Amino acid sequence: MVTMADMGQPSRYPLDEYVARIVSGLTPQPESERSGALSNDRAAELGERLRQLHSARQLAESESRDYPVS
Amino acid sequence: MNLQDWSYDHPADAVDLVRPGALNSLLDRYGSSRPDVLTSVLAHAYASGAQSAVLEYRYIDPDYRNEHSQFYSTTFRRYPSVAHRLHFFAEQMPPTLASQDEPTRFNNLGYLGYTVLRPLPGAPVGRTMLAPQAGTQPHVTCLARDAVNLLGEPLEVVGAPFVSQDAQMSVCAHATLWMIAYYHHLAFGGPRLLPGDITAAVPDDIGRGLPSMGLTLYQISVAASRLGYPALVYGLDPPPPGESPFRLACRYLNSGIPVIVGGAEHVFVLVGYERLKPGQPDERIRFIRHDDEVGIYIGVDNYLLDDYAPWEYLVIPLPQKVYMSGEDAEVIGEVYLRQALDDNAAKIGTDLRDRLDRKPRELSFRSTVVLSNHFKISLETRQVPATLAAVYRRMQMSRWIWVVEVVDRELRRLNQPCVLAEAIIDATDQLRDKHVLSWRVPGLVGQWNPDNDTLSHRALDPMPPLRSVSKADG
Repeated sequence: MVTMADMGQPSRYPLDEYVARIVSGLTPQPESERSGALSNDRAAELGERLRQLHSARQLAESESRDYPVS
Repeated sequence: MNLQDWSYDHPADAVDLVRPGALNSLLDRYGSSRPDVLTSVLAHAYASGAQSAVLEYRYIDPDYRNEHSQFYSTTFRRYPSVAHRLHFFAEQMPPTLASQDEPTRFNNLGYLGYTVLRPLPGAPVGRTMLAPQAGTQPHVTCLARDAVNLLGEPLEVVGAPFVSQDAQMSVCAHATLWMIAYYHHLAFGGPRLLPGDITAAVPDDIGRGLPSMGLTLYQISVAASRLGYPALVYGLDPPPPGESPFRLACRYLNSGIPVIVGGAEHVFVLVGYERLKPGQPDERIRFIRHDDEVGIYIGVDNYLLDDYAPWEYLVIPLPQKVYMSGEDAEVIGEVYLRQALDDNAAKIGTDLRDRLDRKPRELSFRSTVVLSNHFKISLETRQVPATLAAVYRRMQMSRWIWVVEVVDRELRRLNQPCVLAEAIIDATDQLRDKHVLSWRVPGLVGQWNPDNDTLSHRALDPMPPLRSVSKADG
C-alpha cells in the first residue's frame, strides 16, 4: 500500500534501469551551423510569394460569394 | 409512378443483365421522366462487365429515409418511405439462389457495387457506390471502401460515392457536398452526414432553403465549414500567381481529396485525373468527375471545351486539421529544399540544385497532404531504405502533413519511382513562422524540432529515386 509518507521519495525502481532508449539517430546541429534555416533573402522571397497567393485567394473568396449554382 | 408498384411480397429479384431487354426493363421501371443519370449508372455497370444484378426491395436507405422524413413526408403527394437497391455482379447468379432451403450466397461473384433507387419520379438515383472501370481505376484518386450487406452476405466495394440531385431537397450543391461528406466518412473516418444535415448547414439568409432553388458558392463554402470540412475557394479567371487549374486541383486529387468545380452556374466533383501523352508537347490532363445531373466517372478530355466551360472556381473542402493550403505548402517546401541544397552543397554536391533550374524543366515539385500515420505505414510499401524509414518512423509529426516532393518528370512519365528529395510540413503550422518539420536531399535528412527550435540531421547513403506518396501514378 502506498502511504502519504511514500509520496515524493526517490523511486526504489528507477525506470531508467528498465528501459532501452529509442532515439531519433539524428545529430543536433550547433547554432553556428544552422543548416536548413532560411537566409534573409529566401525568407523575404517566401513571404512575398505567400502574400501574393493569399491575396489572390481572398479576392476569389470575395468575388465568388454571389456565384449561383443549381 | 404507381405507389402500388413499389412494394413486393418477396425480398429480392435476381436480374440476368445479359438477356436482351434487361437494360430497357430496368430503365422502364425506374427511369421515369428523367432517366439520364440512371442510364449513365447502368451503362457504367455494363461497361464494367456486369452480368447480373440483384434488386433488393424494401431497402431502408439512411439517406433516402432522411430525405423522406425531412421533406417527402410533408407533401400532399405520397412517396414510399423505403427504397430499392440494385447490386451489380460480374458473374451470373448461381441456380441455388432460387432454392428456399439454401442461405443466399453472393461471394465470389465479382461484386461491382450498388445504386439505391429512390421512389422519386425524375430523381431515382440515390446513394451509389460503383467501382471504376478497370482502365479508369488507376486514375481515380478519391477511392473509398464501403461495406455492404446483401441478404446476410457481407460484400465490399471500392469506389467514389455518387448521388443525383432531386431538385427539391438537394440541388447540385447539396449533392456535391453529400458526395464529399460520404467520401470523407469512408476514407478518413469523418461523421456520417445525411441530406438533412447538409440542408441544415446551408445559411438560409439567401433564398428559400427547402425546396431549394439553388445555392451560391458562399453558401456552399459556409455549409462545408459547418459540416466540419472548411473549404478553400480558388478563382480560375485568372488563377493565383504561378498556378493553373491543373496544379491547384491535382495537389488535392493527389492527396485523395475531391475537388468541387463551379462553371456555367453548376458544380460537380473531380475524383481523379489522368495525364494524357505525358512528356509530349501536347501533354494534357483528363479529369474524371461525378456530375449529379449526368452520371459517374465521366472523363473531361479538355476542360476548356467542357460543357461547363469556362470553369470559374474550385472549392476544396478539407479535413478540419488541414489549416495550410497546398500552394502555400509547396512554396514553403520548395524554398526550404533549395536552402538545404545550398547549405549542404559542399557535402552533397550541386547536381540536384543545378537540375532544379535547368530548362526545359527536368524536375517539378509535387505536394500531397497525407495522414502522418499513413505516411509512416507506407514507407515499407514504397520501399524507402531502412536508414531513412528509421528516421521518419521515429519522427513526431502532426496528424496531417504536407509532403512536398522533388519529382523527376521523365521517371514519372515512365511510371518509375521518381522522388529525389522531399520536405515534410506540419499542416497546422503557423504562416508567420514558417518551417518544415523535415527535409531530405540526396545524402542528408534534417529535422526541425518545434518544441525547442533546434535542428538536427543525419547523413544518408546514396539511394535510388523513391516512390511518391501521391495517389496518382509515378
